[in-house]
Amino acid sequence: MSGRRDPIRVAARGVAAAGICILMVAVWPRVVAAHTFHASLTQIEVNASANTVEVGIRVFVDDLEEALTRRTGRRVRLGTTVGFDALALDYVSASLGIEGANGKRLAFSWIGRETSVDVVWLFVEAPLNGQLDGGRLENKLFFELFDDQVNTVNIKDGKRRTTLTFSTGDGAKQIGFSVDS
Amino acid sequence: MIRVIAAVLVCLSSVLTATAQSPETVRSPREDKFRQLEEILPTPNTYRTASGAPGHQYWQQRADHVIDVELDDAAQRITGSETITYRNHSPDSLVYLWLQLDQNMLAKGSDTQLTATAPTLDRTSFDQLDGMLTRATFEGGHVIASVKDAKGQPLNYTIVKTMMRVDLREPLAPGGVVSFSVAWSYNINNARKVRSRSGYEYFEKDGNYLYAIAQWFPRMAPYTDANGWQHKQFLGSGEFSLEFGDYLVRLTVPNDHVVAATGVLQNPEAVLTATQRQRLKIAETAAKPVQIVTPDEVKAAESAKPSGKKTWIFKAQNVRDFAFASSRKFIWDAHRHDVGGNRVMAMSFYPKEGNPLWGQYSTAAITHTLDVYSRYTFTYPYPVAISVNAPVGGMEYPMICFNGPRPEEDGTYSARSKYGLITVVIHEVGHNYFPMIVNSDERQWTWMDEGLNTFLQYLSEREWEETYPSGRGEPRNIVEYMSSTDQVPIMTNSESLLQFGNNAYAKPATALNILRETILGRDLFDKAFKEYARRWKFKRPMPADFFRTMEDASAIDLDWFWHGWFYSTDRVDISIERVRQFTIDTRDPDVENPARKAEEDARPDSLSEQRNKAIPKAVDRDPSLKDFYNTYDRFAVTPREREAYAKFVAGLSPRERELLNSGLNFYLVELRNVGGLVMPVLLKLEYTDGTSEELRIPAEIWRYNSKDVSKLVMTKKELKAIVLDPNLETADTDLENNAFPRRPVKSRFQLFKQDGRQPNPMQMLERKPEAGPNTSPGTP
Repeated sequence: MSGRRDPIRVAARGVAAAGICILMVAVWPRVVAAHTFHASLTQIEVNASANTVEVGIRVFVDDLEEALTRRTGRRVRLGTTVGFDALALDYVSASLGIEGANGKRLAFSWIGRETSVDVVWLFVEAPLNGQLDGGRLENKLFFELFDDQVNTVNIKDGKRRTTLTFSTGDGAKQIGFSVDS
Repeated sequence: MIRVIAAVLVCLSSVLTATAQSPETVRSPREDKFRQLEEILPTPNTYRTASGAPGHQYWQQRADHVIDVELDDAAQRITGSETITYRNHSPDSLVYLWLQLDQNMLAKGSDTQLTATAPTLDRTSFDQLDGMLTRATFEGGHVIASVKDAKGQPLNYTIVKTMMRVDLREPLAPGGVVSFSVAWSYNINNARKVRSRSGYEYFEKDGNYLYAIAQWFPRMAPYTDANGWQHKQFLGSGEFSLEFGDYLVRLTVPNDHVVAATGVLQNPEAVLTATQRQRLKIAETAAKPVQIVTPDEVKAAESAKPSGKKTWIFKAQNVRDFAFASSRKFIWDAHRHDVGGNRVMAMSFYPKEGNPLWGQYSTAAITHTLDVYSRYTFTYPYPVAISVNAPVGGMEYPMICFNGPRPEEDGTYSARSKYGLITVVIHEVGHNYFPMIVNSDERQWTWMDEGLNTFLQYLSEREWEETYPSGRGEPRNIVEYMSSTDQVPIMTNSESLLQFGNNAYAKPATALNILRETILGRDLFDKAFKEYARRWKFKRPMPADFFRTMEDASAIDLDWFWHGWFYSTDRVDISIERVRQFTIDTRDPDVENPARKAEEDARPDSLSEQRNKAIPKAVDRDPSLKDFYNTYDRFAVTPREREAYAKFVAGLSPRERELLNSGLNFYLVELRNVGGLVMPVLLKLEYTDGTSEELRIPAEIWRYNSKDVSKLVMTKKELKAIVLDPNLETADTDLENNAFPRRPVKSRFQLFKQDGRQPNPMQMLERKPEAGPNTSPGTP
């Protein structure tokens, strides 16, 4: 394996963490029903009374397992891997970035997860100082896996709502609420 | 009636008060959400009627195939030749024919490769790099060796990406038949590295290959009344658009391979052992799957080498495509199943890596699917139904489908894998109905097969077991997607869909479930849906044919529904803005005066009034300051009032007197359509006496004003609260405005957090079954 590291390093020079992960297991592509879906859906809600941001992220289980496997270099499986939640929080924190209007990136803490057959909801929350409106958001979940990933983020702050959509390669976007959603 | 009420009604009180108005606005209230679809749908003609049925001059082309093909296991290569007999049933002369060369999607420099956008590279694994490199260097694509006419003379042809035009020597007249042959070859992709709908899987441990072969022969592009030649290039997402025909296929493979294919095996004595044929005979009458090839036999085959080749011959009638799978690793189980009088051989083919899951569930899921789908559509017409474990997630072909899920390598499996397998088998076998038999154009409209199929999949899952963890179909599961603003309508071309899963599967499936449960009711919906399937069985429907048939068979104008759910990205969000109460003024002073007094007494004292109460008053210090007005009770009933009332009553008719004393409460419920999608208004009226009732108002309540409407509720009882959509039937995206008075609604996040982070029943899905196959996973 080590013999193969150099070319990747060269190819990915200047890119942090390139080539450190080797996927040891074949991960099934999810093509349930003839089409690969590479999509996630995130619900972000401001809890004004607690001054927190509550986040629910719906992802496909096999996408998450594949991402964590690549990230850690070992086989990660929901339900059997010890410390799965910490790995998931770490990955979410690295991939989903929320900056409040004051420019500070929110720090998530783990609340839990809820699994169904092929999807899992990940719940995290973070204290919020000030406003979300005017802040910035990035969501690069699974961009490293799929060139056709689409991440939809619904943001709710009281009565105000907006949606941001991130396709593979997209950077951070401004959070702004329009009157008419 | 209205005039009478107006004459006697006096607004007594507004016991329930309005909360803040939503800042959100919807488009112009004058937008007609009920405008007819006529202006959008194609004009009916003799091919397709205004009622959604095939017209009296409906036609479709036909293409019969005779194919000889050889699978080269050493080089993972397909070499074939075919004779296509093409029948022109159209009223048009054709000077050339178009064929589809789907493998060209995997060719170097294909549009699929060129238009793929870049992945992010800040974390790249060797595996990912390997995949990228393999894709870029894979020598894929159809290599056409020859195209010849019936006399063996070469025909001119031109390859345009994934399409090939064959120039006919003379025009093919209406009603004419032409035969021609094509010879070709191509390299089979490694489906693990170059993802596609077919390919091979290499098993490193035993050095064997498993082939799932599809889109493998040059196929006729359809020529249709609606689109002419359907030769929109294959980019990868828009699936297939095909013609029906009969197939005779001779498959030559290593002589230790077992082959599964569309159609019926014609030469079992030449390719199967006597033992296997004997087992097949037993399977004809068995109630449970019988192993035709056992795991032990597979184990022996895995370490042996083939001594030659065998040719498996299959025939299939009236199919739109032909696919096959071949490997020496296949365990094969089968049993015959009676589907509405048609005796179908249900069969599964899987490597040992698929067990224990596959032996337990694959064939059982096939027969379950055939039973349920046939009930909602038509009797499954084909002689076989096959599920193959292959290196694709799930892909459907006539009579045969490829499904991915496997247990863990240690032979255990999670409940998630179990339901993943049953779900995908139901879905892919279900595709036999849509689009294999109801032959919609997948290249154009993904929802016509995926949406309808996901809907029937949901119904089938509900009949598998009560707690089946269905992912799609329940209105509450689509809420998050519906509330996002970055969507495209369902009526969007297959290649441009932004979110395939939600848009083409979940949203149409949920819309149909709502149409069935909430708008038409089960009987009316099932009749109409079945009629659509019956009308278009072995024919090619367009979206309008579905929309029109559902109305035609139900007598319900659904244009508003198609507009909202299929042509727009509006969401459902209906709000109870305000409720006002009115009661009848009886004019009886002995009733009304005490009531007004009670109302006055009920008014709270202001802060100043409360504080001023204790202050000594001048009239108390000096009672001589008091006069008549200090003791006058303005609510006391006077003889003059009684007299006026008696006179009023005397002038009323008996019916008017009855109305006056009816004791009715009138509640004016003001509703606002915040989300834009018009839907029925479903109200649960909760009374102070603890009873409740449901009021189901059709969507037509919005027909004059699609933004604000009010509804009058007359009742002798007193209302305590009103809840909109109490059974969560409509996918309402904001439940906070669904109750009056407002009730706090917890988000998914808050509900989870509130439950104290306990593993909920669904998390049991992550755990491996301990008690065997009947372990229940709990509810979603």
